[in-house]
Amino acid sequence: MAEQILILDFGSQYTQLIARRVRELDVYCEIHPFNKIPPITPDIKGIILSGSPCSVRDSDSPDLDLDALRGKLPILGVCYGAQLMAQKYGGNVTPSEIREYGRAKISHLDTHSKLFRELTHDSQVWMSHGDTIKELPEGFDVIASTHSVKIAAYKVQGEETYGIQFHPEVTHSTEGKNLLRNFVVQICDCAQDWTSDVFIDATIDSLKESIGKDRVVMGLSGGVDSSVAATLIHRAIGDQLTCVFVDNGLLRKNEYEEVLESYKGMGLNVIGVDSKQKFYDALAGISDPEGKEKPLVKHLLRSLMRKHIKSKMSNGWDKAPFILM
Amino acid sequence: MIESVSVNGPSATIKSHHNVGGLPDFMKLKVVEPLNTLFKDGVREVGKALGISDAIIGRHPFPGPGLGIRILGDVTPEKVQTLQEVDYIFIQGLKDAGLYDEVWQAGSMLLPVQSVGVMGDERTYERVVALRAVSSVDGMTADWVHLPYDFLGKVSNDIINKVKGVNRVVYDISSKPPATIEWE
Repeated sequence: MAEQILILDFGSQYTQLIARRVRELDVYCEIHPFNKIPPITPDIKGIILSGSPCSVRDSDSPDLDLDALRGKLPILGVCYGAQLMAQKYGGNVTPSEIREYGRAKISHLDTHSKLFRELTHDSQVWMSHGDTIKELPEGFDVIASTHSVKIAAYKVQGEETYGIQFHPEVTHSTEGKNLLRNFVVQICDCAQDWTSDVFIDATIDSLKESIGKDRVVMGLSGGVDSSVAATLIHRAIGDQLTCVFVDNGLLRKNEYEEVLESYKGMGLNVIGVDSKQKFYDALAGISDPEGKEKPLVKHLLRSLMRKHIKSKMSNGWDKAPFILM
Repeated sequence: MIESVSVNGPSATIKSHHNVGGLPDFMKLKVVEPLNTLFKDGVREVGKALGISDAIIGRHPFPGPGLGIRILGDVTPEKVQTLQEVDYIFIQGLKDAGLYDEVWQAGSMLLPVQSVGVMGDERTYERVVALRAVSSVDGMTADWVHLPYDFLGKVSNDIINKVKGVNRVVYDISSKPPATIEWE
């Protein structure tokens, strides 16, 4: 199993960016909601707690059992994640006197901290918060400040638990990527070996195992995702894969012919289905697709496409217990 | 899709993914989704490593319901054909000008309004199309592309001259957020 960083999401608009930055370091990561934490298996090397639009001061704000995680593996709390840890262990989080959004300069930095290795003293960071950590719990040390935020980052003594008020995942934090690299590589000890080739080999193996001798039918769209997925599955199971490409009448000019041709060139077993007229018929008279009727249109499109796959695959359909869309 | 993982958390979903949907009940099937842990650019990297051609890997994303959501108002075969011609001139123009790969996604919208024009000595009352080209890394945020005026001018001219029923072309200069990439 590939080693990974677990990102617990409290709903921040930036959570996806954290995942992206970690992936860019060739380290696998997964985002899970804060209230559905997966089992902490040995492949999980560290945890990042995301930001949130909520305030830790609200009674119904997102919460989790930190005792189960703290000290067992490295934790990096970002914004809300940092505030939550501070608040839970006896610190004090209050509304900021001035809500702080945008660029700020680090004015104090503990350069001995592993988290800040090779970071510069007046680094620019991106702030986006309405609450501030006013006091830290005992055993928590300030490791960075800005001019207006004294507790911009902290570390818990004797464990690899960190909290930062700014957002390293946003590119406006100019050295944010270094900070995340320090956490993921220096502190969590990830090997940075999660590359495309590793992904391909692992995926082909797991596809072989999960599909076995079953057949797979797959609807192709002509796009990047379905082309890549089809190639992976084809490499795993060869002729057990049948692809269907439907002309729903809403493709680009010449696209049906061109795409079908290119798939055949890739050695895939592709069935082309021209059902333009059925789709036009289904759409006829629906004049307000952007309003309430839109879901209906989408549903019609989907179900028609699936019916078509079904009718075209009636031979041996029952023997095709897998489908991929 | 990784972009959708956090919908179980408190993150508000802005807009449903056009391509992501559950299976209808009549299909008692299992699902395999080998790419559900990747971002879009991760999918492209895997595709390159698999040796898939640049022509396929570099294709712009295209919504599942296709031109159906780029025709505002009701969809008819005639409108689809009009939009296909407009879209073809725009996309081919981007390719010919070497701009296609600099754009994350480009397309045209057929608007449900008509506007007055003059062609020769005739007064026309025909359709308006909007062109849209955005830059993005992953589709989560996007900025409109500052396409050269000369290019836009040429494309507009080509569209109005070649596509019957269109007499006005506009360019969408909104970013995501607050706008979205598609109009529907």
